[in-house]
Amino acid sequence: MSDGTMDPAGTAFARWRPVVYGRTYRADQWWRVRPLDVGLEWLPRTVLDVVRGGEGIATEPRFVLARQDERLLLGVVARATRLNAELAVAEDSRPLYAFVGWLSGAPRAEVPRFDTFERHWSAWAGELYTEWMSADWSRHPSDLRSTNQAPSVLPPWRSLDEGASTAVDDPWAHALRRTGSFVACAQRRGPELVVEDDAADQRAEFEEIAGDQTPTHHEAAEPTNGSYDEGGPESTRPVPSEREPYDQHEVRRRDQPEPEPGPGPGPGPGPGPGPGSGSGSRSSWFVRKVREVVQPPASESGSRPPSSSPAPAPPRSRPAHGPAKDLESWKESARAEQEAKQSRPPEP
Amino acid sequence: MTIGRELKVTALGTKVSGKTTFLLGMYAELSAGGPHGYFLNAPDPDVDLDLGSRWDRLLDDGILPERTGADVIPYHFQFLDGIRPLIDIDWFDYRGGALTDAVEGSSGDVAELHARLQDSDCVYLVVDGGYLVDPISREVVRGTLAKTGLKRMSSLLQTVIQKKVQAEEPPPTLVLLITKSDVIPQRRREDLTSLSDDLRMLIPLAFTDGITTLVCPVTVGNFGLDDPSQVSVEEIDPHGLHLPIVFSLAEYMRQLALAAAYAGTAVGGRVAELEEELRALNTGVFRNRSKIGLARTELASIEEDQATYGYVFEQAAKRAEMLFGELGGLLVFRDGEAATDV
Repeated sequence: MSDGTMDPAGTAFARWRPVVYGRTYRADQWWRVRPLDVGLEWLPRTVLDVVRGGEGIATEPRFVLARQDERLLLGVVARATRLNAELAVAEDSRPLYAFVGWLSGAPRAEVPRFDTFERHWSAWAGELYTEWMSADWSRHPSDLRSTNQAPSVLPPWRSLDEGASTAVDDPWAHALRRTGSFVACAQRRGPELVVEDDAADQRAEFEEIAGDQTPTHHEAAEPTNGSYDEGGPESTRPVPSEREPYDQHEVRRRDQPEPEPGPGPGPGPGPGPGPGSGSGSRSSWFVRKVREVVQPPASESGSRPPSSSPAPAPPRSRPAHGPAKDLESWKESARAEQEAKQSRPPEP
Repeated sequence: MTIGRELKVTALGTKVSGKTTFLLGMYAELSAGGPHGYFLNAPDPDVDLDLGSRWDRLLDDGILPERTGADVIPYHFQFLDGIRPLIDIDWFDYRGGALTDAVEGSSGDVAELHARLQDSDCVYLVVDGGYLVDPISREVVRGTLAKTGLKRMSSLLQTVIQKKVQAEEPPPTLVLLITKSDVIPQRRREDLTSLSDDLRMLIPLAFTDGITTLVCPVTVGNFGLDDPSQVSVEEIDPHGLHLPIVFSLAEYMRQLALAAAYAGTAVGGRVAELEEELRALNTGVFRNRSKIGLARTELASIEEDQATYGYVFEQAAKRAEMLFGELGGLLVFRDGEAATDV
């Protein structure tokens, strides 16, 4: 397994760096280690997004693969007891959760196949968690003011040769073939494996899969050479164009409204798959899976489903503080109320 | 959809002080329908479902909410009078550890908390009732200040108030929110004057000139001093969780009524001026009909404004009275004095 990003020492995997997010026994401080380099501001945001406050991982971990700003992140969100049972409960007896992962400086660094990672995650992530958590576990909060800068490490999957995750049948394959940024999460729910690609932007993803020709804000800015649905060999992958600035790729938080379309390449026929290209026997595993999770619209005629997101509120020009700031708004409401009363027909 | 008028509330508290549990309980109490037909509602149905299901998990299985990570979670609620939206409530939740972390640290939530605090209309100082079981003596003040986080909260608030004073803005209204009050002996819990005296020793800033403060013990149930992740379902017995936000709105309405009264008075001054002007224009042989017409139009418009301010005043004062009435038995301090007529 080589990603062609050999470092001067000749080690293909030397560019991975650990990311551990989880609080300690005594301190409500969560970052144990992560690369603190300039330009990696998206990393904590992405980790917080996929951790989702520790929700939904009581029985099964959530696996994460994300690419942003020429970096690739592979990790897992899990109950701490699955990582190290001795470093799993805080001083108030509440069980802990954590994110453990690896960040590569090569956006196309090879990651292990999903099933390999699923088989070994507990040992691999557990080792990393134990290494960084045990150092901080009992320390006083005042000793944990800063996050550790992540060193380069050899990834635990270096000794395995079980195939690349770009194989057509691999759950990560769809995401990895994309040219732009993405966040993909995979989790077992009973016997089923559910994959969310760009968990924060499922609507855009759905529209692509449903055959809508309108490019998403990811795809519109980065033309691709072909349909990701066809699962071509690695050599035919489109070469990424010059990257968009970070803010255009920013992964939205769950509670944020969808951004309005900007003045860039607007809706219109794009390079994505055409209507129907994501269906039938040529559909990838991922496409079929998402269709199971997200209900398709009644019609696949290409019409865009109405957006459920409200338009952003207009900027307010009123003063910022105190109830007096709202006086004019109350006045308008009062006027409308009085007018409504006056226009109401008199009761018989 | 926003209403265009907003109340920004920030709850300050250390880790495990109960901020998230309080939020869930408050929402559960008010989303089902509060006093006098008032409601709190999350317009985003997913948020409503999330808050509701986490509260239900506590009620059904006794499982307290997950710890809040190094993330700030903003919530947008609407406070409604029946079906009429009155005001947006902007709330956010965060880990207690952010209170004591440095802004320059690696967690972005700390800087966010500080920026937000400066912008808040109302600040809840969340104090774990476990630290107020016994009367506060001078000997234990220092230790209690550190454990409750009140020392840090006081320092942060002082900075906020100084900046507000410089900017000629009103200081935030305060709520001393005593969570887990079930652990405080009943006699002490009911003697709010004595409890307030103890709090005055711990955070004198909340009892100074220009500051309005509510002392409000709340509880989710009778869980005792232990803070396990799972509690006995039989012991769940929420009390007073809706009162802090009711107070915040009552105080908002009171200040709105005052603002409307001032505006009405200012407009009234202009009415008198115009009436005088019209009298002068209508005197004498040669009358300027154009000027008279303009003055009459302006007078009519201003009189309409005056009537509208009067209506806003009446409505706000009525709502304030109704909401303050809900706080029966609690103590509100204005300028350090217990207010008999809130």
